[in-house]
Amino acid sequence: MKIDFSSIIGLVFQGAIDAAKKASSEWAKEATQDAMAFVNSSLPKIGRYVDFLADGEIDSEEFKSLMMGLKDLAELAALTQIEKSEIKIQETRNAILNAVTNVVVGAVSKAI
Amino acid sequence: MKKTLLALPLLVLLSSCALFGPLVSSFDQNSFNAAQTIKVEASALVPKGFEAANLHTWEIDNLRSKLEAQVAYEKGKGKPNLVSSKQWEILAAKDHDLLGKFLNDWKGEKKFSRVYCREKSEQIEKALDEILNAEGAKPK
Repeated sequence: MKIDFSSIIGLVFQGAIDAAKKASSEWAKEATQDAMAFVNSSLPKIGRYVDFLADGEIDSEEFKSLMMGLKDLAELAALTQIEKSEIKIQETRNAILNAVTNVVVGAVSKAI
Repeated sequence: MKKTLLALPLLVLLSSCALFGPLVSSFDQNSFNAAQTIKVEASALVPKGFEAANLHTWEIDNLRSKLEAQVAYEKGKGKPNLVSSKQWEILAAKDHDLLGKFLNDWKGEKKFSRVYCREKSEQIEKALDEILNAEGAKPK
């Protein structure tokens, strides 16, 4: 019985690289789109708050609170992105684990 | 020899699972429902923030209790739930500018304008949407 371990390691690394590349490109695109959507939705709100302050409908303390609220929303959105990236890492890890298992099982079955 | 080789994939699998625990907690229907309930109640209450707090004492206290209980629940899930736990903390914190601070200030007899309450309510709804989005993305 002979098992070609160098070939197994090569296949495992290739599987890992492919899975990581796929996950990172998908996530980067999604994260950029979400960040742009957040900025685009925040800009009109800031303009609205400035108008309310200028018209005396809110005071400076309320204006500051609304701006700080926007900052908190940005932080929440960033945390969601972190979680989504962790989910991608977890999925990639599972894909790599499956690839490793399949390669090793395949090699051992052939050798037996 | 055969047995040893057959055990190899199993060993790889087991050691990988043992070395790496889950990075993210699983979807929790209780957390999702709690976020939806708090969103509905906050959307009904916060726009009334220009009124005197003593007219809404029960609703303010009830919402604060639910918020604090949820923060404790999320923290209790441990490290894989760190992101959700942090999001709930921000929503409830008195040193941030979302639901926790608003309820605290209102209860402390702070006066708000009608416009401010409407805008803050929108921010709080958006914050809860973000929490729902993060919970909904978790593996089922």
